[in-house]
Amino acid sequence: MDESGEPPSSEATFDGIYAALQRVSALVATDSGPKEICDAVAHEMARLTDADAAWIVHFNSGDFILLPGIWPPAELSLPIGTRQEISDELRLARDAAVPYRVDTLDPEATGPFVEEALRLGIVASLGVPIFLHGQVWGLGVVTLLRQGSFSDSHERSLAHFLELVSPALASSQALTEARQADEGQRAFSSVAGLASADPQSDELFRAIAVEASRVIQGVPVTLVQFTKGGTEAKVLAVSGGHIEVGRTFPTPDDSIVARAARSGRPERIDDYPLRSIEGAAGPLDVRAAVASPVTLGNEPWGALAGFSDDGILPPDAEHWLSLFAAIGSAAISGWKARSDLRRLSEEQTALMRVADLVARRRSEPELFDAVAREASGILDHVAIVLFRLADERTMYVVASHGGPIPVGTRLEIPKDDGGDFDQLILTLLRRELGKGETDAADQIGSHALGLGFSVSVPVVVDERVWGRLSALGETEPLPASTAERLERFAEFVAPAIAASDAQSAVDRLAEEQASLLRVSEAVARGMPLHEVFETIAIEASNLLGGVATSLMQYDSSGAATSVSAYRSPAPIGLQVPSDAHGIGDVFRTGRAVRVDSFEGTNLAGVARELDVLSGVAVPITVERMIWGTLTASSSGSPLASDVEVRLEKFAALAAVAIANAQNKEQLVASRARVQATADEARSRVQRDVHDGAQQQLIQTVLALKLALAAATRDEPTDGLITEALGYAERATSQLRDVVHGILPVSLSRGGLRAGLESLIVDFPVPVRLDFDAPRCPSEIEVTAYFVIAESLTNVVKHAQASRIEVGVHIEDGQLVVTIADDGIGGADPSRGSGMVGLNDRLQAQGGALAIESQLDRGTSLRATLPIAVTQSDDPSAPSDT
Amino acid sequence: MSPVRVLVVDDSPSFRSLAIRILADWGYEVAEADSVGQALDRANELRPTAVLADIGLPDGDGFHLTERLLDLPWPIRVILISSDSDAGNGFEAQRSGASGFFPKDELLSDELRELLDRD
Repeated sequence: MDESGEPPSSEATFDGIYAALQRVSALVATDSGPKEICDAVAHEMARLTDADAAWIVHFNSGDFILLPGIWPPAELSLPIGTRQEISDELRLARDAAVPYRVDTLDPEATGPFVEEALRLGIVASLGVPIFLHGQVWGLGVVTLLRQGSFSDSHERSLAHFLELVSPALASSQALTEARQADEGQRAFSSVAGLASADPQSDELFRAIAVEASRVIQGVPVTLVQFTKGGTEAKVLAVSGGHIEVGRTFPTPDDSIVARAARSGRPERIDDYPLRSIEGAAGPLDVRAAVASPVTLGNEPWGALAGFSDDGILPPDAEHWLSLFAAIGSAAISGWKARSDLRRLSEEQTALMRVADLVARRRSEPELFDAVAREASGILDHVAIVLFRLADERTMYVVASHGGPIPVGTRLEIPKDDGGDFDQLILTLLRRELGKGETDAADQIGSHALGLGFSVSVPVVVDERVWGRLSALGETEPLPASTAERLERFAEFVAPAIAASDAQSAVDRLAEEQASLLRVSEAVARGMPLHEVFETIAIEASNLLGGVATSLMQYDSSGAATSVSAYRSPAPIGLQVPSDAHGIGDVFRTGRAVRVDSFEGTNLAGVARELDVLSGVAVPITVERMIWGTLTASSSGSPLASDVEVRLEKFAALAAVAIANAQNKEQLVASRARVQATADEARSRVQRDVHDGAQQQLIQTVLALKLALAAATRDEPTDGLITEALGYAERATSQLRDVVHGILPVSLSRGGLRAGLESLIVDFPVPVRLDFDAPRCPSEIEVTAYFVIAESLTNVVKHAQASRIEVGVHIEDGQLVVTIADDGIGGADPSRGSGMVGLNDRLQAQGGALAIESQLDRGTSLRATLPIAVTQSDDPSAPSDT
Repeated sequence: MSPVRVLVVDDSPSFRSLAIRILADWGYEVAEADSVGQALDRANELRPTAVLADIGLPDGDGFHLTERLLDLPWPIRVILISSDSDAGNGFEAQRSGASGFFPKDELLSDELRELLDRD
């Protein structure tokens, strides 16, 4: 300042400018701090222009900032960093790169610089552009506190000086920035170090807030996380104690954090509409605020914000906050990645536990339990239900962990659901339902079961939808990541289920084989029929895991009687009528029938009495007839979906076993009859011989002995010898009859034709024989002979026929015998031992008998006898008999 | 000494007639019956000394008849005969209390005659 008090009028000399420059350069050369250099520049500016005060401002885009470099230092009360909006006039001057003079203060003007000018009583001021790198970087401002104004020469001197001193200013600026950057870098490094060392997130968040605050000159910094869709912000960390951590604030649209979240860039509000926020120690007034978004991926996650209660924020606060916010974003991403990794590792462990169960060949229920339990474990213990798809429209709950639906619950998928279920069940879609949503998914256990929220994902095994895994939330929405995590778990667990499925299939096959083997062995051992029935019920039950089973036999009307039962409340001998629900249907249709509930059916009473809720019945077909039914029943949960298939397979074997046992039983009975017939024939022969020929021969002997005695006494013997001859002749005749009864000689000598011709010669009813067959093995001929002889005897006894036609011929390698009469008919093949005996004879030779006998239409009988391989090569050649 | 009275029991008329002729020739007083029932009636009626009975009869067998006859309150000898010479018949006859068994073709044997003549 000029000592004379005169207004500056003379142009500063070159020497003056040079001297000023030299003083500043000396400071630069001695590596003085930027503030000292700037202060020196301001001082020299005042000297050169005889000004009372001088300072330097730096242009930003919309405002200018007071920089270090003030002279006289004590005079100006504005803090460094004070900003003011650029007025239109100043902008024009800046853009035109010309000096800017204010000789009279605009009474309308506002701003901290205006207020300071009024306070100091500044009369005139002059701002001269400072160029840096060819751009208007700022202004060197000189002011007068007394009447007067700055001359053009002042202006030229100042411009000259500032032009020369700008490199020094530039280096000072660079130095400042470098130092700040250095400090920031150190803070940044320390925070980044924390982040990489996997700190507790609280510690990291606090470090971010504290370091950011330090770098922006102690402005309190708060790290918030957006909640409730960004409408609120939760305080995660603070640099000091100004706000409580954990507190939640609303984030209206005009708040600084909402603006930063919206723009995705740092935001700054210097003239913050005065807001009072609830601080830790009472209300805090916010006059200026700066915030930078913290993002996760591309989404706003939170913000790092600085609040100033005095309206003053460092000029580069956005810059630094954005840097620390970036560290925050990176750290949070890393932290999330690590927790994802941890989660993944938890999932891996869970999956390994499931796989281990498969490897140890644990049962399916155990495996499914484990799947539900582990899925719940990795999803923070939400309720989990595992559904298995039985067929297109049926699902079963196979495991439930904390879920409200009991295992075994069967869910029918409605047919008229408009395709929602098809989409849900049969496709690979995942489904998330919120509270109040109603659709077909009710059925899978959300709303119908009082649950509010569910996420359901498909379990795909061998490229088919095997079932669904559902997470259920009662009151709270499930976390957003649930679907993705459940889907991943389902995907990973599918191979374990597939392996278990395969194992179960193998086990089941082995079980089936074992059961079948036991039944086959039972038959092979010649087990009586009733024991075969028992074995079938027991093994069917074992096969199906111990369910109640029973074997029922149909009569010709379709009414069924229980012939064996196992683990079943149904007693042996239980009879159900032919129209019985389910069991009657099996008889009528020959197909498996499933009954899920007997309520409302004609078996409801019986079912209630026996405590049977549901059942499956499959047919047993023996020799092309529906012989009976094998049933499985349950008093509790419905039978598994594959019961029909497994029971049907088993029933096929049971049918063979029953047929074998029945045949065997019939064979035994037939053998016994054959034996009895043979025994009877023998005793008849014995009786005939004993009572007849033998008696006659004894009398012959006695008569001859008497004759011999008479001869020795010389008495006449003629009478006695004649008597003996009579006895002997009768004996011969009777023996002939007996022998003929055993086997006609004509048959054994001349074959079937000769035997038959002999038989019919004196037959009481005329017989016409049509014989066209070669000689056959004797057992065939003898059988055919007796079938014809017996039939002819029956005709004479019962038919009242006037003629009989007998045919014998060969057909398809079989000897076919037909006997037809014109009698009264009405013969019942099931009655009369004669017919049974014929049948036995024929069956013993592998033959068969068919009879047709309608009232008044005569009787015709057809017997077939396969000609055994023992047949002689030339069928026309006589046999060796 | 009263003559030995013999009852011949057999369902074959021709054998009965032959046997009666032989026994009568031997000097016995002979009666006949064709069944167990008739034999018991005739025995009560005639009180024979001995009964010569066939094992096979239409309404029972000779063993049964023997037991019934021996139950009568007077002494009686029963000799069983049969067309068979089966040794089993001898043992069974003995067990039933019969005095002997003879195949029918040994009707003329001395042993039978001795048995009939025994007191």
